Amino acid sequence: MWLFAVSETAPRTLTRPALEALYARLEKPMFNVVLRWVWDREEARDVVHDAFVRVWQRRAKVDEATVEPYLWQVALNVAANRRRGKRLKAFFGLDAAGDVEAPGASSEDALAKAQASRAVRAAIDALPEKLKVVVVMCELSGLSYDEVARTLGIPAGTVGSRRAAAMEKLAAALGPLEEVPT
Amino acid sequence: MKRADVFEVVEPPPGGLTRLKARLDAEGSQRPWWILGPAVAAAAVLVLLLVRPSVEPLRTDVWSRASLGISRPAQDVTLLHASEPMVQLSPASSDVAVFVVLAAPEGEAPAL
Repeated sequence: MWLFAVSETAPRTLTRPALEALYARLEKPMFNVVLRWVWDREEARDVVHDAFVRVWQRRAKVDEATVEPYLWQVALNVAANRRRGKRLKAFFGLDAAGDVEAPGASSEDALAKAQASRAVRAAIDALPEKLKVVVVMCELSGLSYDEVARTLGIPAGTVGSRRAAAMEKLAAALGPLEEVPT
Repeated sequence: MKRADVFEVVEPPPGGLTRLKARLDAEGSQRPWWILGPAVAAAAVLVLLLVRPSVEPLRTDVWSRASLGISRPAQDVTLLHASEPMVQLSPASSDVAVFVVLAAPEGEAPAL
């Protein structure tokens, strides 16, 4: 994997200002990615913080030049572990649903939006993990296909095929997905 | 449904960087408590070794005298033969500390 590939230049140890600058840049995309695993805003923020703290704990072994994909991997692992923990708790009846959509919606619009949000969550959760991680990373991380491929350790072509497969499954569950030109 | 609705971008809760800094500061100030366990265990073993009463020299001394059947020349110890052939009385002095030694069969150390 490229993370630990031998570099021609001397590795730079991760510094605290560099980590904080990285957080300022990655907070929002990383939060949105892990939110699709834990479906709880506070917990998603905790997951992002956990990832940064863990990378900081291992800073002696981390090259600043390659820390970003490593951060993404740690965040995805932490999020997947939290998700498994929540499923276990839910299995034993110890966990409530997440708070992505605030309860108590009064208007019809808000109610419809809440229903749509639940449908989206169910459709994303129903995706196989391999497809889910690719499509969520492609749509929300802000990384290019190649960067997603390097981060996940898979070929770029696989990223494209898995993303397409995930989109098909989402369209089957939610109806055709309209592309909005930007 | 629009693709942007499926992958709606949500704003993270405010104050994220401040909280992360606090966590990183707390991380830096933590002591390596995992070192304490082995250190305490090693200290406990050391104390046990130092405090443990040493009985081995006495046993060795009694065994050697018993196996040889003679008393070691000493100023205040005399080997006495009791009426019972399996027992030897060996007072350390005239008024204190009498050792009872069971003689073992030939070629074996006495049971102490």
